[in-house]
Amino acid sequence: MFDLKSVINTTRIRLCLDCGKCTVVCPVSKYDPEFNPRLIVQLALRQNGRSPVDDKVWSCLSCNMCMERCNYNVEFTDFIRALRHQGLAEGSEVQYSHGGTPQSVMHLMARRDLRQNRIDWLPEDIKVERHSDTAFFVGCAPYFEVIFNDLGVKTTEGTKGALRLLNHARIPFTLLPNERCCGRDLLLMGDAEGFLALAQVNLQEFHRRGIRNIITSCPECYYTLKVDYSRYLEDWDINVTHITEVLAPLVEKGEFSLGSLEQKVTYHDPCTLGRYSRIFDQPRNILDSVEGLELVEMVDNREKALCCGASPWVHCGLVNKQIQKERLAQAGATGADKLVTACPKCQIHLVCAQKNAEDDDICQIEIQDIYALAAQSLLSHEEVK
Amino acid sequence: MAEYEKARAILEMLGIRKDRLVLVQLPAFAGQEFVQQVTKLTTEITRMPTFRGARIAGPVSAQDARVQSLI
Repeated sequence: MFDLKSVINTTRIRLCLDCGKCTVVCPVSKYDPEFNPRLIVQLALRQNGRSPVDDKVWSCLSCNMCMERCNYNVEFTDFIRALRHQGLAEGSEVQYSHGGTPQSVMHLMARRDLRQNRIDWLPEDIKVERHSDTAFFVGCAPYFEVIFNDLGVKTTEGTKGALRLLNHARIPFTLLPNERCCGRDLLLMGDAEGFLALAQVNLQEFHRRGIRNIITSCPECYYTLKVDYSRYLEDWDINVTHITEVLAPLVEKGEFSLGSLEQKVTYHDPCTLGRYSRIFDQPRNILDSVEGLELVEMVDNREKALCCGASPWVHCGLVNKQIQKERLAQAGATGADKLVTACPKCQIHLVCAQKNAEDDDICQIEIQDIYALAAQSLLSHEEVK
Repeated sequence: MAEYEKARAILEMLGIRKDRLVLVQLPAFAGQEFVQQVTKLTTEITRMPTFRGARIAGPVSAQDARVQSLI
Protein backbone atom coordinates (compact mmCIF):
# COMPACT_ATOMS: atom_id res chain seq x y z
CA MET A 1 0.00 0.00 0.00
CA PHE A 2 2.79 2.41 0.90
CA ASP A 3 5.70 0.79 -0.88
CA LEU A 4 7.94 3.76 -1.61
CA LYS A 5 9.05 2.53 -5.04
CA SER A 6 5.50 2.15 -6.33
CA VAL A 7 4.39 5.38 -4.62
CA ILE A 8 7.16 7.24 -6.51
CA ASN A 9 5.47 6.11 -9.75
CA THR A 10 1.83 6.57 -8.77
CA THR A 11 2.39 10.06 -7.35
CA ARG A 12 4.41 11.16 -10.43
CA ILE A 13 6.93 12.58 -8.00
CA ARG A 14 9.81 12.34 -10.53
CA LEU A 15 7.97 14.86 -12.70
CA CYS A 16 8.70 17.55 -10.10
CA LEU A 17 10.49 20.34 -11.97
CA ASP A 18 11.71 22.00 -8.80
CA CYS A 19 9.80 25.13 -9.84
CA GLY A 20 8.75 25.95 -6.27
CA LYS A 21 5.13 26.85 -7.01
CA CYS A 22 4.02 24.35 -4.33
CA THR A 23 6.16 26.13 -1.75
CA VAL A 24 4.80 29.54 -2.71
CA VAL A 25 1.20 28.47 -2.01
CA CYS A 26 1.90 26.14 0.94
CA PRO A 27 0.42 27.65 4.14
CA VAL A 28 2.98 25.86 6.31
CA SER A 29 5.92 27.21 4.26
CA LYS A 30 4.55 30.71 4.70
CA TYR A 31 5.06 30.56 8.47
CA ASP A 32 7.87 27.98 8.65
CA PRO A 33 10.62 28.79 6.13
CA GLU A 34 12.28 25.45 6.91
CA PHE A 35 9.28 23.53 5.54
CA ASN A 36 9.67 23.15 1.81
CA PRO A 37 7.63 20.53 -0.12
CA ARG A 38 10.00 20.31 -3.10
CA LEU A 39 13.08 19.93 -0.89
CA ILE A 40 11.41 17.12 1.08
CA VAL A 41 10.76 15.38 -2.25
CA GLN A 42 14.30 15.94 -3.51
CA LEU A 43 15.86 14.70 -0.28
CA ALA A 44 13.70 11.57 -0.19
CA LEU A 45 14.47 10.73 -3.82
CA ARG A 46 18.18 11.36 -3.47
CA GLN A 47 18.45 9.17 -0.38
CA ASN A 48 16.31 6.47 -2.00
CA GLY A 49 14.93 5.36 1.36
CA ARG A 50 18.38 4.79 2.86
CA SER A 51 18.28 7.59 5.44
CA PRO A 52 15.73 8.30 8.17
CA VAL A 53 12.68 10.23 7.11
CA ASP A 54 12.86 13.99 7.64
CA ASP A 55 10.79 14.96 10.70
CA LYS A 56 9.33 17.84 8.66
CA VAL A 57 6.95 15.37 6.96
CA TRP A 58 4.73 15.60 10.06
CA SER A 59 4.14 19.33 9.50
CA CYS A 60 2.30 18.85 6.19
CA LEU A 61 -1.43 19.63 6.56
CA SER A 62 -2.47 17.41 3.61
CA CYS A 63 -4.49 20.44 2.50
CA ASN A 64 -3.67 19.73 -1.18
CA MET A 65 -2.95 23.38 -1.95
CA CYS A 66 0.36 22.27 -3.56
CA MET A 67 -1.42 19.89 -5.91
CA GLU A 68 -3.86 22.61 -6.89
CA ARG A 69 -0.92 24.67 -8.16
CA CYS A 70 1.33 21.94 -9.60
CA ASN A 71 1.34 21.91 -13.40
CA TYR A 72 2.34 18.24 -13.50
CA ASN A 73 -0.20 16.95 -10.94
CA VAL A 74 2.49 15.67 -8.65
CA GLU A 75 0.61 14.11 -5.75
CA PHE A 76 2.77 15.50 -3.00
CA THR A 77 0.38 14.66 -0.13
CA ASP A 78 0.23 10.97 -1.13
CA PHE A 79 4.02 10.91 -1.27
CA ILE A 80 4.22 12.48 2.21
CA ARG A 81 1.84 9.78 3.45
CA ALA A 82 4.23 7.08 2.23
CA LEU A 83 7.14 8.87 3.91
CA ARG A 84 5.15 9.02 7.14
CA HIS A 85 4.49 5.29 6.89
CA GLN A 86 8.22 4.74 6.57
CA GLY A 87 8.82 7.16 9.46
CA LEU A 88 6.45 5.20 11.73
CA ALA A 89 8.26 1.97 10.86
CA GLU A 90 11.57 3.64 11.72
CA GLY A 91 10.20 4.75 15.10
CA SER A 92 9.88 8.42 14.18
CA GLU A 93 8.92 10.56 17.17
CA VAL A 94 5.41 11.77 16.40
CA GLN A 95 3.99 14.58 18.51
CA TYR A 96 0.41 13.51 19.10
CA SER A 97 -2.04 16.31 19.85
CA HIS A 98 -4.58 15.91 22.68
CA GLY A 99 -2.49 13.19 24.31
CA GLY A 100 -3.05 10.85 21.37
CA THR A 101 -6.70 10.33 22.41
CA PRO A 102 -8.14 10.47 18.84
CA GLN A 103 -5.65 7.84 17.62
CA SER A 104 -6.30 5.60 20.64
CA VAL A 105 -10.06 5.77 20.05
CA MET A 106 -9.55 4.93 16.37
CA HIS A 107 -7.42 1.89 17.21
CA LEU A 108 -9.93 0.71 19.81
CA MET A 109 -12.71 1.04 17.23
CA ALA A 110 -10.95 -1.46 14.97
CA ARG A 111 -11.90 -4.27 17.37
CA ARG A 112 -14.32 -6.62 15.65
CA ASP A 113 -16.26 -7.49 18.83
CA LEU A 114 -17.14 -3.87 19.69
CA ARG A 115 -20.73 -2.98 20.61
CA GLN A 116 -20.83 0.81 20.75
CA ASN A 117 -23.32 3.17 22.38
CA ARG A 118 -22.75 5.86 19.77
CA ILE A 119 -26.23 7.15 18.97
CA ASP A 120 -27.50 8.19 22.39
CA TRP A 121 -27.51 11.82 21.20
CA LEU A 122 -30.25 11.13 18.62
CA PRO A 123 -33.30 13.30 19.40
CA GLU A 124 -36.82 11.89 19.12
CA ASP A 125 -37.94 14.31 16.40
CA ILE A 126 -35.54 12.77 13.85
CA LYS A 127 -37.08 9.92 11.89
CA VAL A 128 -34.78 6.99 11.21
CA GLU A 129 -35.78 3.82 9.32
CA ARG A 130 -35.22 0.57 11.16
CA HIS A 131 -34.26 -1.18 7.92
CA SER A 132 -33.10 0.53 4.74
CA ASP A 133 -30.42 -0.07 2.14
CA THR A 134 -29.40 3.58 2.56
CA ALA A 135 -27.40 4.48 5.65
CA PHE A 136 -26.35 7.85 6.96
CA PHE A 137 -22.71 7.57 8.03
CA VAL A 138 -22.38 9.75 11.14
CA GLY A 139 -18.59 9.70 11.49
CA CYS A 140 -16.77 10.58 14.70
CA ALA A 141 -18.86 13.63 15.68
CA PRO A 142 -20.25 11.91 18.85
CA TYR A 143 -16.72 11.04 19.97
CA PHE A 144 -15.39 14.51 19.13
CA GLU A 145 -18.07 16.04 21.33
CA VAL A 146 -16.74 14.09 24.32
CA ILE A 147 -13.03 14.45 23.52
CA PHE A 148 -13.31 18.22 22.95
CA ASN A 149 -16.05 19.05 25.43
CA ASP A 150 -13.75 21.53 27.17
CA LEU A 151 -13.81 23.60 23.94
CA GLY A 152 -17.60 23.68 24.03
CA VAL A 153 -17.86 22.47 20.42
CA LYS A 154 -21.15 20.67 19.82
CA THR A 155 -20.22 18.56 16.81
CA THR A 156 -23.39 16.45 16.93
CA GLU A 157 -25.45 19.62 16.33
CA GLY A 158 -24.18 19.49 12.73
CA THR A 159 -25.14 15.83 12.41
CA LYS A 160 -28.60 16.47 13.89
CA GLY A 161 -29.01 19.35 11.40
CA ALA A 162 -28.02 17.09 8.48
CA LEU A 163 -30.51 14.41 9.56
CA ARG A 164 -33.31 16.99 9.96
CA LEU A 165 -32.57 18.25 6.43
CA LEU A 166 -32.86 14.69 5.07
CA ASN A 167 -36.14 14.25 6.97
CA HIS A 168 -37.36 17.55 5.51
CA ALA A 169 -36.43 16.35 2.00
CA ARG A 170 -38.27 13.05 2.72
CA ILE A 171 -35.18 10.97 2.03
CA PRO A 172 -35.31 7.73 4.07
CA PHE A 173 -32.16 6.43 5.76
CA THR A 174 -31.03 4.22 8.59
CA LEU A 175 -28.24 4.69 11.12
CA LEU A 176 -25.62 2.10 12.00
CA PRO A 177 -25.14 1.94 15.78
CA ASN A 178 -21.90 0.07 15.29
CA GLU A 179 -20.23 2.00 12.47
CA ARG A 180 -16.54 2.73 13.00
CA CYS A 181 -14.31 5.70 12.29
CA CYS A 182 -13.63 5.84 8.54
CA GLY A 183 -9.90 5.83 9.32
CA ARG A 184 -8.91 8.91 7.36
CA ASP A 185 -6.65 10.34 10.05
CA LEU A 186 -4.77 7.06 10.37
CA LEU A 187 -4.39 6.94 6.59
CA LEU A 188 -3.10 10.52 6.48
CA MET A 189 -0.53 9.77 9.13
CA GLY A 190 0.71 6.73 7.23
CA ASP A 191 -0.79 4.11 9.57
CA ALA A 192 -1.86 1.76 6.78
CA GLU A 193 -2.55 -1.19 9.10
CA GLY A 194 -4.82 0.86 11.37
CA PHE A 195 -6.70 2.32 8.41
CA LEU A 196 -7.26 -1.07 6.76
CA ALA A 197 -8.45 -2.62 10.02
CA LEU A 198 -11.14 0.09 10.34
CA ALA A 199 -12.09 -0.09 6.66
CA GLN A 200 -12.56 -3.86 6.83
CA VAL A 201 -14.79 -3.80 9.93
CA ASN A 202 -16.86 -1.03 8.38
CA LEU A 203 -17.32 -2.97 5.14
CA GLN A 204 -18.30 -6.06 7.11
CA GLU A 205 -20.91 -4.00 9.01
CA PHE A 206 -22.32 -2.50 5.77
CA HIS A 207 -22.66 -5.93 4.18
CA ARG A 208 -24.20 -7.42 7.34
CA ARG A 209 -26.85 -4.66 7.32
CA GLY A 210 -27.48 -4.90 3.55
CA ILE A 211 -26.33 -1.33 2.89
CA ARG A 212 -26.08 -0.35 -0.79
CA ASN A 213 -25.95 3.47 -0.47
CA ILE A 214 -24.27 5.75 2.04
CA ILE A 215 -25.01 9.42 2.61
CA THR A 216 -22.68 11.40 4.83
CA SER A 217 -22.21 15.01 5.88
CA CYS A 218 -18.58 14.71 7.00
CA PRO A 219 -16.16 15.61 4.17
CA GLU A 220 -13.45 13.32 5.54
CA CYS A 221 -15.77 10.29 5.75
CA TYR A 222 -17.14 11.11 2.29
CA TYR A 223 -13.77 11.19 0.56
CA THR A 224 -12.44 8.18 2.44
CA LEU A 225 -15.46 5.98 1.76
CA LYS A 226 -15.84 7.10 -1.84
CA VAL A 227 -12.23 7.26 -2.96
CA ASP A 228 -9.94 5.48 -0.50
CA TYR A 229 -12.19 2.51 0.30
CA SER A 230 -12.76 1.83 -3.39
CA ARG A 231 -9.00 2.12 -3.91
CA TYR A 232 -7.89 -0.17 -1.09
CA LEU A 233 -10.80 -2.60 -0.52
CA GLU A 234 -11.32 -5.23 -3.22
CA ASP A 235 -14.95 -5.96 -2.25
CA TRP A 236 -16.08 -2.33 -2.10
CA ASP A 237 -19.40 -2.06 -3.94
CA ILE A 238 -21.27 0.74 -2.14
CA ASN A 239 -22.47 4.01 -3.61
CA VAL A 240 -21.35 7.03 -1.52
CA THR A 241 -22.95 10.48 -1.74
CA HIS A 242 -22.33 13.69 0.13
CA ILE A 243 -25.45 15.23 1.65
CA THR A 244 -24.97 18.43 -0.36
CA GLU A 245 -25.00 16.34 -3.58
CA VAL A 246 -28.38 14.99 -2.48
CA LEU A 247 -29.93 18.30 -1.41
CA ALA A 248 -28.48 20.86 -3.86
CA PRO A 249 -30.19 19.37 -6.98
CA LEU A 250 -33.52 19.40 -5.09
CA VAL A 251 -32.94 23.08 -4.27
CA GLU A 252 -32.22 23.83 -7.95
CA LYS A 253 -35.41 22.05 -9.06
CA GLY A 254 -37.41 23.95 -6.46
CA GLU A 255 -38.33 20.71 -4.68
CA PHE A 256 -36.59 21.62 -1.43
CA SER A 257 -36.93 24.89 0.40
CA LEU A 258 -35.56 26.09 3.68
CA GLY A 259 -36.79 28.70 6.16
CA SER A 260 -35.50 32.18 6.78
CA LEU A 261 -32.67 33.64 8.85
CA GLU A 262 -31.61 37.27 8.88
CA GLN A 263 -27.87 36.71 9.10
CA LYS A 264 -24.66 37.47 7.26
CA VAL A 265 -22.38 34.45 7.02
CA THR A 266 -19.13 33.46 5.36
CA TYR A 267 -18.46 29.90 4.22
CA HIS A 268 -15.17 28.10 4.96
CA ASP A 269 -14.43 25.42 2.32
CA PRO A 270 -13.02 22.34 4.08
CA CYS A 271 -9.97 21.08 2.12
CA THR A 272 -11.41 17.56 1.81
CA LEU A 273 -14.76 18.74 0.51
CA GLY A 274 -13.36 21.46 -1.74
CA ARG A 275 -9.93 20.75 -3.21
CA TYR A 276 -10.15 16.96 -2.75
CA SER A 277 -13.81 16.31 -3.67
CA ARG A 278 -14.45 19.40 -5.87
CA ILE A 279 -17.67 20.20 -4.01
CA PHE A 280 -17.74 24.01 -3.99
CA ASP A 281 -21.15 25.10 -5.29
CA GLN A 282 -23.51 22.70 -3.52
CA PRO A 283 -22.98 24.00 0.05
CA ARG A 284 -23.32 27.56 -1.27
CA ASN A 285 -26.55 26.63 -3.06
CA ILE A 286 -27.96 25.34 0.22
CA LEU A 287 -27.00 28.58 1.99
CA ASP A 288 -28.52 30.60 -0.87
CA SER A 289 -31.83 28.82 -0.38
CA VAL A 290 -32.16 30.20 3.16
CA GLU A 291 -34.29 33.32 2.87
CA GLY A 292 -32.69 36.45 4.30
CA LEU A 293 -29.25 34.84 4.60
CA GLU A 294 -26.44 36.86 3.06
CA LEU A 295 -23.35 34.92 2.01
CA VAL A 296 -20.10 36.87 1.82
CA GLU A 297 -16.88 35.30 0.58
CA MET A 298 -13.49 35.39 2.28
CA VAL A 299 -10.54 36.62 0.25
CA ASP A 300 -9.31 33.01 -0.11
CA ASN A 301 -12.22 30.82 -1.13
CA ARG A 302 -13.08 27.73 -3.15
CA GLU A 303 -9.88 26.21 -4.69
CA LYS A 304 -7.75 28.81 -2.90
CA ALA A 305 -9.40 28.46 0.51
CA LEU A 306 -6.96 28.49 3.40
CA CYS A 307 -6.84 25.30 5.47
CA CYS A 308 -8.17 25.30 9.05
CA GLY A 309 -4.56 24.68 9.94
CA ALA A 310 -4.41 21.24 11.43
CA SER A 311 -3.23 17.85 10.25
CA PRO A 312 -4.49 14.45 11.54
CA TRP A 313 -4.18 15.33 15.23
CA VAL A 314 -0.38 15.46 15.09
CA HIS A 315 2.27 18.18 15.30
CA CYS A 316 -0.07 21.07 16.06
CA GLY A 317 2.09 24.01 17.05
CA LEU A 318 2.71 27.70 16.60
CA VAL A 319 2.68 27.51 12.77
CA ASN A 320 -0.76 25.88 12.83
CA LYS A 321 -2.05 28.55 15.22
CA GLN A 322 -0.79 31.29 12.89
CA ILE A 323 -2.60 29.72 9.92
CA GLN A 324 -5.79 29.49 11.98
CA LYS A 325 -5.40 33.08 13.10
CA GLU A 326 -5.05 34.17 9.48
CA ARG A 327 -8.12 32.21 8.43
CA LEU A 328 -10.19 33.69 11.26
CA ALA A 329 -8.95 37.18 10.34
CA GLN A 330 -10.14 36.58 6.76
CA ALA A 331 -13.56 35.63 8.14
CA GLY A 332 -13.64 38.71 10.36
CA ALA A 333 -12.71 41.00 7.43
CA THR A 334 -15.89 39.99 5.59
CA GLY A 335 -18.03 41.60 8.29
CA ALA A 336 -20.02 38.36 8.64
CA ASP A 337 -21.82 37.45 11.87
CA LYS A 338 -20.78 33.83 11.56
CA LEU A 339 -18.30 31.53 9.91
CA VAL A 340 -20.03 28.38 8.74
CA THR A 341 -18.27 25.22 7.72
CA ALA A 342 -19.24 21.73 6.58
CA CYS A 343 -16.54 19.90 8.54
CA PRO A 344 -16.58 19.05 12.27
CA LYS A 345 -12.79 18.99 12.36
CA CYS A 346 -12.46 22.50 10.89
CA GLN A 347 -14.92 23.64 13.54
CA ILE A 348 -12.85 22.06 16.33
CA HIS A 349 -9.52 23.43 15.06
CA LEU A 350 -10.78 26.98 14.59
CA VAL A 351 -12.61 27.08 17.95
CA CYS A 352 -9.49 25.62 19.59
CA ALA A 353 -7.43 28.50 18.12
CA GLN A 354 -9.93 31.04 19.48
CA LYS A 355 -10.07 29.50 22.97
CA ASN A 356 -6.35 28.96 23.39
CA ALA A 357 -5.21 32.24 21.86
CA GLU A 358 -2.59 33.94 23.96
CA ASP A 359 -3.10 37.29 22.26
CA ASP A 360 -6.33 39.25 22.21
CA ASP A 361 -6.25 40.12 18.52
CA ILE A 362 -7.53 36.76 17.24
CA CYS A 363 -10.93 37.09 15.58
CA GLN A 364 -13.64 35.65 17.85
CA ILE A 365 -16.27 35.24 15.12
CA GLU A 366 -19.00 32.72 15.95
CA ILE A 367 -18.44 29.37 14.22
CA GLN A 368 -21.32 27.09 13.27
CA ASP A 369 -21.89 23.96 11.25
CA ILE A 370 -23.65 24.62 7.91
CA TYR A 371 -26.25 21.88 8.46
CA ALA A 372 -27.07 23.09 11.95
CA LEU A 373 -27.59 26.57 10.51
CA ALA A 374 -29.77 25.34 7.63
CA ALA A 375 -31.87 23.22 9.98
CA GLN A 376 -32.19 26.21 12.32
CA SER A 377 -33.83 28.09 9.45
CA LEU A 378 -36.45 25.32 9.24
CA LEU A 379 -37.23 25.88 12.89
CA SER A 380 -37.87 29.59 12.26
CA HIS A 381 -40.12 28.50 9.35
CA GLU A 382 -42.12 26.24 11.69
CA GLU A 383 -42.46 29.04 14.25
CA VAL A 384 -43.96 31.35 11.61
CA LYS A 385 -46.48 28.64 10.64
CA MET B 1 -10.34 14.65 37.13
CA ALA B 2 -11.93 16.12 34.02
CA GLU B 3 -9.70 13.95 31.81
CA TYR B 4 -10.68 10.89 33.85
CA GLU B 5 -14.39 11.61 33.37
CA LYS B 6 -13.75 12.22 29.67
CA ALA B 7 -11.97 8.86 29.33
CA ARG B 8 -14.85 7.10 31.12
CA ALA B 9 -17.37 8.72 28.76
CA ILE B 10 -15.33 7.59 25.72
CA LEU B 11 -15.13 4.03 27.05
CA GLU B 12 -18.88 4.00 27.61
CA MET B 13 -19.47 5.12 24.02
CA LEU B 14 -17.12 2.40 22.81
CA GLY B 15 -19.21 -0.16 24.69
CA ILE B 16 -16.34 -0.94 27.06
CA ARG B 17 -17.44 -1.09 30.73
CA LYS B 18 -16.42 2.25 32.18
CA ASP B 19 -15.71 0.76 35.60
CA ARG B 20 -12.69 -0.92 34.02
CA LEU B 21 -11.00 2.45 34.30
CA VAL B 22 -9.98 3.17 37.86
CA LEU B 23 -8.55 6.42 39.13
CA VAL B 24 -5.89 6.17 41.81
CA GLN B 25 -4.72 9.47 43.24
CA LEU B 26 -1.32 9.57 44.92
CA PRO B 27 0.70 12.43 46.40
CA ALA B 28 3.66 13.44 44.21
CA PHE B 29 6.19 12.16 46.76
CA ALA B 30 4.71 8.64 47.03
CA GLY B 31 7.19 6.97 44.67
CA GLN B 32 7.04 3.54 46.23
CA GLU B 33 3.26 3.47 46.24
CA PHE B 34 3.24 4.53 42.57
CA VAL B 35 5.54 1.64 41.64
CA GLN B 36 3.29 -0.76 43.59
CA GLN B 37 0.20 0.46 41.71
CA VAL B 38 1.88 0.08 38.31
CA THR B 39 3.20 -3.39 39.22
CA LYS B 40 -0.26 -4.42 40.42
CA LEU B 41 -1.82 -3.24 37.16
CA THR B 42 0.71 -4.95 34.89
CA THR B 43 0.37 -8.20 36.89
CA GLU B 44 -3.40 -8.01 36.51
CA ILE B 45 -3.08 -7.43 32.75
CA THR B 46 -0.64 -10.33 32.35
CA ARG B 47 -3.08 -12.66 34.14
CA MET B 48 -6.04 -11.60 32.03
CA PRO B 49 -7.28 -14.21 29.54
CA THR B 50 -6.44 -13.14 26.01
CA PHE B 51 -6.38 -14.52 22.53
CA ARG B 52 -3.79 -15.16 19.89
CA GLY B 53 -3.02 -12.20 17.65
CA ALA B 54 -4.45 -9.52 19.96
CA ARG B 55 -3.98 -6.01 18.63
CA ILE B 56 -2.04 -3.39 20.50
CA ALA B 57 -4.16 -0.24 20.69
CA GLY B 58 -2.43 3.04 21.21
CA PRO B 59 -1.08 6.17 19.61
CA VAL B 60 1.36 4.21 17.48
CA SER B 61 0.98 2.36 14.25
CA ALA B 62 -1.24 -0.66 14.96
CA GLN B 63 0.81 -3.81 15.20
CA ASP B 64 -0.13 -7.43 15.50
CA ALA B 65 1.27 -8.72 18.73
CA ARG B 66 1.76 -12.25 19.91
CA VAL B 67 0.65 -12.37 23.51
CA GLN B 68 2.79 -14.87 25.32
CA SER B 69 0.83 -15.49 28.49
CA LEU B 70 -1.86 -17.92 27.35
CA ILE B 71 -0.65 -19.12 23.96
